[in-house]
Amino acid sequence: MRVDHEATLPLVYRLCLRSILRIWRTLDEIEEVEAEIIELRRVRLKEHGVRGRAPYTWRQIAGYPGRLALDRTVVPIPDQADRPVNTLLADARTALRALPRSPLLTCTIIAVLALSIGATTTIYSVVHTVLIEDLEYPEPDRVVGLWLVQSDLSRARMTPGNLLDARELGVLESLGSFRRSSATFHPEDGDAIVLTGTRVTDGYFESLARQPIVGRPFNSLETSTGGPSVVMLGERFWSTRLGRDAGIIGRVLILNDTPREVVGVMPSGVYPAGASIGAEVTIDPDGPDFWIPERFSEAFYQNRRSHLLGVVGRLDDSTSFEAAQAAVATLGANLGERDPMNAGEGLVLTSFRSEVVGAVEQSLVLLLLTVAVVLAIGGANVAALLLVRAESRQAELALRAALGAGRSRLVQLFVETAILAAVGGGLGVLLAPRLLDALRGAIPTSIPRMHNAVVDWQVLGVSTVLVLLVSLLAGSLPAVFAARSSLTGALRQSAPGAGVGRTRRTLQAFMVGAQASMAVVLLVVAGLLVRSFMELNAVDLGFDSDGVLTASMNVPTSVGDDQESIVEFMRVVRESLLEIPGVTAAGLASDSPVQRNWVDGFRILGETRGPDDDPTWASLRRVGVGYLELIRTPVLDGRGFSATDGVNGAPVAVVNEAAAALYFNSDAVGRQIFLPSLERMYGEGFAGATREIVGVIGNVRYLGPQAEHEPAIYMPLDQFTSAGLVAAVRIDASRPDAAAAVRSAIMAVDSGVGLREVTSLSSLVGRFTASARFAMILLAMFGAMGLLLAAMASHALVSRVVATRLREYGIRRALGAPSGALARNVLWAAVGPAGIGTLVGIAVATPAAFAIRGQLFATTPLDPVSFAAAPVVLLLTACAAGLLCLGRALRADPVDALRSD
Amino acid sequence: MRQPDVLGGFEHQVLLAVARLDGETYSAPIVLELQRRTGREVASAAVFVTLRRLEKRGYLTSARDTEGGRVGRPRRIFELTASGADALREARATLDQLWQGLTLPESR
Repeated sequence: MRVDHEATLPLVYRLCLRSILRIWRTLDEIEEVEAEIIELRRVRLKEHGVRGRAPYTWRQIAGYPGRLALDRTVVPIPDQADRPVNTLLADARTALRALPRSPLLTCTIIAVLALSIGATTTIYSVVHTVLIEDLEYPEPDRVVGLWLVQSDLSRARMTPGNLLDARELGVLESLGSFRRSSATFHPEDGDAIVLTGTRVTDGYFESLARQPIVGRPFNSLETSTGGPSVVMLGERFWSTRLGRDAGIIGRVLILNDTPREVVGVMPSGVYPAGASIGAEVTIDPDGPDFWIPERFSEAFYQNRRSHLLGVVGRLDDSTSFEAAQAAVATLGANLGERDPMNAGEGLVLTSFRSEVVGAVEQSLVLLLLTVAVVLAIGGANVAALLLVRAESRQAELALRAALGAGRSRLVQLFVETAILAAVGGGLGVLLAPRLLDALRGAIPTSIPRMHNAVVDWQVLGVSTVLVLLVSLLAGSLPAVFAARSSLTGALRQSAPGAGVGRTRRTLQAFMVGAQASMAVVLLVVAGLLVRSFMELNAVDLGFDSDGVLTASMNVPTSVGDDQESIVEFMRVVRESLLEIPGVTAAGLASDSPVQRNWVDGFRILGETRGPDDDPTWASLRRVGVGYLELIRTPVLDGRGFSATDGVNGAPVAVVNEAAAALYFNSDAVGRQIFLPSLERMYGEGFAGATREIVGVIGNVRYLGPQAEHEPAIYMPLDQFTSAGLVAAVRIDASRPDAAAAVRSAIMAVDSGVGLREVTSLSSLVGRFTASARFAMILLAMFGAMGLLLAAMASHALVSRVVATRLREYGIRRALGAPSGALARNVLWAAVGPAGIGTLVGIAVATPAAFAIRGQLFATTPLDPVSFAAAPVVLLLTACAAGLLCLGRALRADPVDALRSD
Repeated sequence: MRQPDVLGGFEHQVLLAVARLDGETYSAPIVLELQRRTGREVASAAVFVTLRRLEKRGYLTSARDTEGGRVGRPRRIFELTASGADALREARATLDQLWQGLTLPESR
């Protein structure tokens, strides 16, 4: 038989009501509320004559906690101890009184937590921004990159012909190309500046789904040949140079002497701004300064030689990435049929996200894992320190339990941990933005989106969870132990002269060992990265960057574009530079030694290459008089360039050692080469397209220490001028105003020179290793933190052991025990647990080392130096921690020891 | 701050409902009485809290209904005290004073 009027509320309502009201109401009151709700329903049923179950409503039930909370002034909370809130408050009060009693311990715990939480929050905020947050584009997963795959499987930029091919793909909603551009701009006030921009075809902004914040996108007239000259500005340039003037739309800016009407302003953000020869997207921190329409003639679209273009597209709704990949692969396989130039080549589709973050993903994940280990060490450290605290209060807690305090009183320990964790974590979170600022200064610009990293709510949420986790884990050990302790045992153990409880000491030793093992892993990984970085720095780049300043600029338009005028301009610039006091050499080139802008094919005259032979290609570079001597690249055979290799001199070239070995069987001097691209540029029959090799010079690694040597052909700058120039000077490094002097010397020649950065070549070289350096420095810091924490733990353990065994030491001394034996005993307490931890650490570090193999340069993952140094450093530190306590043990006075009994 | 000895609007209504009901003066009938008389939905939680507030101020007393034969917890029966009755009378007098000689414009 069903009872019509139930005596209880349905379980779900009851649970909700009780769990909320229980915080500040007595059980009796809650039961009364429940009874009333039941009664009300019963009366309603009777009144309306409805049989069966009339529902309880959430609205009705939710009213009770709300009104009871608001009404507590009228119906006050009786001062009863069984309410969790009151107990918690009491616990918190007790904890706040207890914590300052051991200031050193409290401060240490807070500092450890602040540092480890701060570091974790900082690194997480970077990872969150760079890796987890979506790119700013709508549906970023649909944005893709498209590249050519060459026969050697390396990626390359697309040719205009390939772009046409790709437009036939049915799977892309839009498709556009981009390539680097730069332009000299004369602001109304001040000197000419060089802006960096991007040339884009239609489909580029559509693929990124980017809309201008002011103005309109390019229209189809503007993106086709013969259309009006227009420009789209970047938000940063618009803000910093044009004062965010919305009236700029429709105005005309002169870029490189071309008047261009401003049609719009694109917001700052991640844009593919250019593509390197190695087919890697380059991204400016805030986007390019400007975009201009790329307008190829019909004829140029037939070009299948010039690998110029980066291509970005957007998948249409109905196509998955895999399906699109397959379609692209099919098209790629047929490229050879379209044009023999593309024989053996293919196409590949990449996700744009991986283009942006792919390169840094590994090192950021490594950093995150590392910082997690630091946090784990910090947590273990805090747990060990809390154990020490709990131990010193063991008698108090046991006595409380004996006097009738419930076991839940031991929540007290948790409350203390929670307070410590909240303070430490709070400080850590406050610290995080400072750390992030410091990190931003040190971070290589190559990490995209890094500048967006902030400690935001999501990051704070993660930190809060971490703080809770740490306090829960770190607080549970001591609390469990306190709960298990018996009064007699506790009182006996806390009596003066008693030793530390065996279980507890074992536990503490275990914690020390755990920290030591984690620290060893950190140290090994840090050691490997340091070794790898040293190897990177030891690589001979083929030039001497010390004391060299470089300035990149554009030839001013006032000079004109005939070769004689440019040669004369370059001569004057070089002389002006040589007049700077302290300058020992000066020279000009088309590219800085740390750039590779132009790679092209060539033919060796008198040699026929079969269709199966590898094509001959090289990086083409132009250098002025004195430049190779300036950067100290040695001439190995024949001669370098001299003043005779001028405009009217015989066309000559110099090749590097790699080209000589690869193409000329190391006998290059005297051979003749033909450069078809020069003929294309200067017209059929251009005499300068055929050049005689007059010398062989040393290899230069233009793309940094990790790049292979590659063939290069150098031509005299005077015989083949360039609109973009790099001036270099070797200058006495002690001159602090060297950069300013170089700048004014160049500006003195012509103020219309679009001068970009004047930078030391060393700092440019440093960019190659910036990522490695960044990872290394952070890991070394984390390793040091881990080491310090492990040492602290060792010290805490030993000093505990010594303190509780003073009596024993005293008696042993009195009985004539040699100091050596006591010292061994004390040191063993430190080194023993650390030693076992170290062994475990080495075992864990081995797979860890293999996991980071991709980050290592010329360093084996099992590098003996790193694997040997880490344990030695750790054990020495543990030893030092032990030695700090040794004095006290050796001074133990038997009389004192016995008196305390 | 509200004066402790002045009846609030809802307190006034609850007190009247208790005075009007005869015998079955526990909260469920009070809630229903209020709904019937005012024609509006009344939150039972508000009645619960108000009854206890009035008791604390001495306008009501309460006792557990010890009559047997019911399932569950005994109900709490409220009763108007002398000071509760005074408070009601005083509230009415105050209102009467305020109404005296007052004519409002006809509602349109």
